[in-house]
Amino acid sequence: MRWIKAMAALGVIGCAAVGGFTQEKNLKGEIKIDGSSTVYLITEAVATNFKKLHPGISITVGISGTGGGFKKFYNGETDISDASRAIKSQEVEMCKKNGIVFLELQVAWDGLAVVVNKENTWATKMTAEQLKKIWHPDTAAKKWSDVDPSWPDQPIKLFGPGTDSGTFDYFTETINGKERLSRSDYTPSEDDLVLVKGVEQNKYALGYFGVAYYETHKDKLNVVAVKAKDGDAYVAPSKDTVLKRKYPLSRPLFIYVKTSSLKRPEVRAFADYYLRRPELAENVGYVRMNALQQAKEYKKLAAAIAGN
Amino acid sequence: MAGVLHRKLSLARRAFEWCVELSLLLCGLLSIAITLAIALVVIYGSIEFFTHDDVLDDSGRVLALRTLSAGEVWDRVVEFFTAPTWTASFAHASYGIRPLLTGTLMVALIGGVIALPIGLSTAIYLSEYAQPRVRVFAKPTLELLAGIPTVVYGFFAVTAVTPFLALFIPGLGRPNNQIAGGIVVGLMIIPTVASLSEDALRAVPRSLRDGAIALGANKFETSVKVVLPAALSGVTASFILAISRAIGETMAVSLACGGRAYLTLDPREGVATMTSFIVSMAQGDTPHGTTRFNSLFAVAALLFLMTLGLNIVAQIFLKRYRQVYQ
Amino acid sequence: MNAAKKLINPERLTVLQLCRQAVVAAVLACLGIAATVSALRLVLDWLWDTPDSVAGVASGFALTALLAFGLGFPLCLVWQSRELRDRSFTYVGFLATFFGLGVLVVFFVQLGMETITWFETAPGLVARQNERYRAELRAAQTALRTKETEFDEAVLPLLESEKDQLAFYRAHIEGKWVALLEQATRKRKEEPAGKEKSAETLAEKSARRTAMIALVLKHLQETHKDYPPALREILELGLDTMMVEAQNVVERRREAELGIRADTSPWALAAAFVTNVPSNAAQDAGIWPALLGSVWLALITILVAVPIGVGAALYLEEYRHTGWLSRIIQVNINNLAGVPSVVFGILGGFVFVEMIFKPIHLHQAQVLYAYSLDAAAAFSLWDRLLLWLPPVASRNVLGGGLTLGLLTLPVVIIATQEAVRAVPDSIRHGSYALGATHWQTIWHHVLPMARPGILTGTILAISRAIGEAAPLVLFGALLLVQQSPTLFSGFTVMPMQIFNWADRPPVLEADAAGNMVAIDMWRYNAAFASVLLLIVLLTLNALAIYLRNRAQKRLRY
Repeated sequence: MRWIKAMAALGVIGCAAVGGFTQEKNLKGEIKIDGSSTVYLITEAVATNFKKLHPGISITVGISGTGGGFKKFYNGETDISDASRAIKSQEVEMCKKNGIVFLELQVAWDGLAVVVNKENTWATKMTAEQLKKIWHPDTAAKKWSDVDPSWPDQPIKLFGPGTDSGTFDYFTETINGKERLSRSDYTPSEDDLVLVKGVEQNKYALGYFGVAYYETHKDKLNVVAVKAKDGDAYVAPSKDTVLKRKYPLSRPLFIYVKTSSLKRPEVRAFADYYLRRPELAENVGYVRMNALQQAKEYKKLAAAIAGN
Repeated sequence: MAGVLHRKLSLARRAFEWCVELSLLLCGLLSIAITLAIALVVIYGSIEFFTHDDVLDDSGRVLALRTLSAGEVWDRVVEFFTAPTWTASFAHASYGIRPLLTGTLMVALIGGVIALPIGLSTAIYLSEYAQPRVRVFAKPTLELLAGIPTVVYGFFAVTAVTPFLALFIPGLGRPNNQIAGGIVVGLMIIPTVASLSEDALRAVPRSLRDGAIALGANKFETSVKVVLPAALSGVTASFILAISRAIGETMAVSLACGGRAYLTLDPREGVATMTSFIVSMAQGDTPHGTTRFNSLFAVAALLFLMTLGLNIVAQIFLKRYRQVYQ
Repeated sequence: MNAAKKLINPERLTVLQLCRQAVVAAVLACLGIAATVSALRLVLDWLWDTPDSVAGVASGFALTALLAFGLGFPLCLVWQSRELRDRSFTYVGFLATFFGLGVLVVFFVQLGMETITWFETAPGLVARQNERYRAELRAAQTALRTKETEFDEAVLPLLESEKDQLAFYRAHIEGKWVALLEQATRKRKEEPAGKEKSAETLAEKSARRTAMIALVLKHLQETHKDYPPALREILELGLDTMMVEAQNVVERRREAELGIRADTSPWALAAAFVTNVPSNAAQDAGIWPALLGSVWLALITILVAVPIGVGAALYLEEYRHTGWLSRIIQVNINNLAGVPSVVFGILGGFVFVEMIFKPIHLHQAQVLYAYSLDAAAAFSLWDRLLLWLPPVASRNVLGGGLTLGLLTLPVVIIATQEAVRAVPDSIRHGSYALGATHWQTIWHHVLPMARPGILTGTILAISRAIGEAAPLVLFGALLLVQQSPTLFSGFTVMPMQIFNWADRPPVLEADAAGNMVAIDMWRYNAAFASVLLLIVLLTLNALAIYLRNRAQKRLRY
């Protein structure tokens, strides 16, 4: 009965919310989506599955970046905007100015795990400052002892994602302050297996990639607990700490839907499908929201549709 | 030739003939238009690159471009040709062409080392030694080799050549290294060297060969000491064209050598070449109108000028050998 | 025997002396080469500031020396005598010539092996995916049943406690509503799992039930606002979640129907590979849009390159043999033939995308928006045309075809020039003697005779167009295209699909023991696609060679 109490706590919304029981099979139309390359992976997976059920709908998904996607969104060019951060106040202003009313829906969590070799006993905890010392191009620590004098006097071997990935953008922005600001002498790869193997085979290696991939290869690597600033605790990444927003290197992923587009049945059906299939986000390597968070977002969507 | 006609053509006929000639002329002029267009596009983009810089917002995203002063433009140009790093995808980007140029030249060098001896030997064999039956079978084989798409060569490099080389080269970069890229590019340009050199060798008149044999030389000495020097300009032209093709090769080196721009002379590492950088920049989601995107044009301009220069030199050599024998 | 020995070994050295001389020469040569290479490398390191370690240089020296010795010793051995040089070159030349053939054979063997691996791996992956679909459907059905059970457990006790209220309502409102409510909230007959009589029975029943409750609740909300709130809450909550779960079940069933591939025989798998669209699941990926894209592009390339190319070649060969203009055009064509294909992609991207199709695309979007606001407004002729056309993408098939047409233009021109040059002048003279004009001669006599050569050039152009990926990457062919391309839509081509698949990371699947195994399915996909592409291209090239041989034979008289 717990789920009933939980739902009751969230409030009740009129029934038949989501346009009734959608058995519509012949939906036709076009949906335009653009935005973050991080959320693109989820949107693409959802769109691929959705199109199998509704082949008459054409969905175009672009990757202009979160900012670029918002620009198109408030200019009215797209129906849905993928975003790896919350919308900024200037962007909200532009939406207001252009008369665009939107709905913010969270779709998944993204977390970054910093990993070291199994034999690495010294770097179990690091602060954000220490990570910055290693990865910032100006300081670019060469040896472990440069970061902390008690650590071994050995050169650090670095692994990380390539410059085209959203993980790279997120890590550099969070740790170094600016997107794409990173030292360039590390081994880049889009293939996480290459990164895992690289860190696994080198005692003095350090790398970073998504939490979900770390969970898959947990037994081969050690993970580093990260502290954002003094006064915080060191938190190790796991699906749980990411969900609860305790881990500093985690962020929510959103889609922003134009409310006027929700009047069209194909957009309604797509947004509904998006929120009902969180395992698609998990398949591409992100952390799916728990049932409570999912229900909350679904209610938001149902309310918006009913309001229309 | 049309002046040979002595009867008067009707006006319609004359007009038609004139129109036909004009349209054919336009077709011919289109090729000039293409070259001009390429040069204009590439030079315009390069100028944009050298004279503008990014205006960033606080989180590092590009807002607009601002024009640089003359001093800054000169600094940019100097940095382009002398800086040892190419970090176009990173913030605080350093745009030095040396890593990319080294990568391109290294791959072309390895390719040349493989293709030139093999291609030349093939050409000498086919023109001097081979029986007609062998030639009938060998020429199409070479042309088939030339017809394989370069993507498939790149795939071959990653899946077959690199594992094979890793058996006996220690410290070979996997999956990307320049040796595999160079080998595969060499395989690609063997047909170019072979067919052009063979044409040059065949064009040498029989009298030279007969004279050499009359003086007691055997076939090998005739080929190498008499025929080859006579056809040297043609053979050189084939070498130059092959190297030019190796420099311009894109997909195979992109797959085989990877995309990390890093200045090194160690062929076991996998580094980006000029062409693979252009492709990776076009593939990524770099927005148009940023310095990062415009660097593509600068690299393409250098590439275009290099291959154009090599082609012109090769054409000069080719004209020389054609003039001597025709 | 003695004569033979004298021939091979005129200086009458023994084999040992021969070897010793050869070894000395080889060692000197290899040390010299290795030293030169290493010195060069050190100089370049110092000049170019490249970081290379001493160990790296030393190992490079050793490697070069070893290589040089390995290659040089046979060379020096052979070099000792004139006759040996001659004889050995026969073999060397033969080996060099068929080195290419050997490489081709290794190539095809390797691609073939990976394709065979594809056929071996695909059935397993497809079976696992089918199982996943079924498991998801079962899980959704279980979830729905659980929700219904929980709903019953929550509602029925409340109904019991509200008997008095219900009696009041029964007395005062229309009987059918209360009866409906009771019927809807009556405990469901437990249906044995898996024994559904028809498709969607479970979900349909659930749907009907929730629809009934929704109807009742709506009526109650309108007429009796003070209906027991607890029951109303539970009814509403239950409805939402049951509807969601029911919809999930319907969708999973549809997905399973669409996605489960029962036929895993090699022919079916191969047919699926050719006709599927690319997908994120490696075993479902196919090449259909890429194939169509390649065909479209080849067609447009021919339509562009052949008329213009033949025209230019005719101009150069028939109308102006000499003169500064024709010289410039000829030089230009020879240079264009050597320009890297990437640069053509940049040209196409700029001229066709930025300057032509992107403005059309944006303008069309504006016109469509204006039309959606007010369909009766007056539109100009150009706007009307844009309304009638399908959506024009900025990077479309037409632009790609034009770019490739420009790329292959030099090939066609050079081939046509050779073909036209080979037509003997006697034909032309005969035609003029009979009173034909220049163009009549060309059209009726020269071109038909040159047709095989022109055809060869066309086929070479097609094969180049099909095989090129670099200019299209620059042009902006999309990498994930799921619909079939049309003239104005986005597109992808076979080489690009191979490029996209070639360096994707391996797929992780759980094997029988539950460990994660990395399967290189994407690589096998790329290999299979390469094999198909190569078959097409090699057939085309063989056809071109055959035609050229036939043409050469015909003109020999």
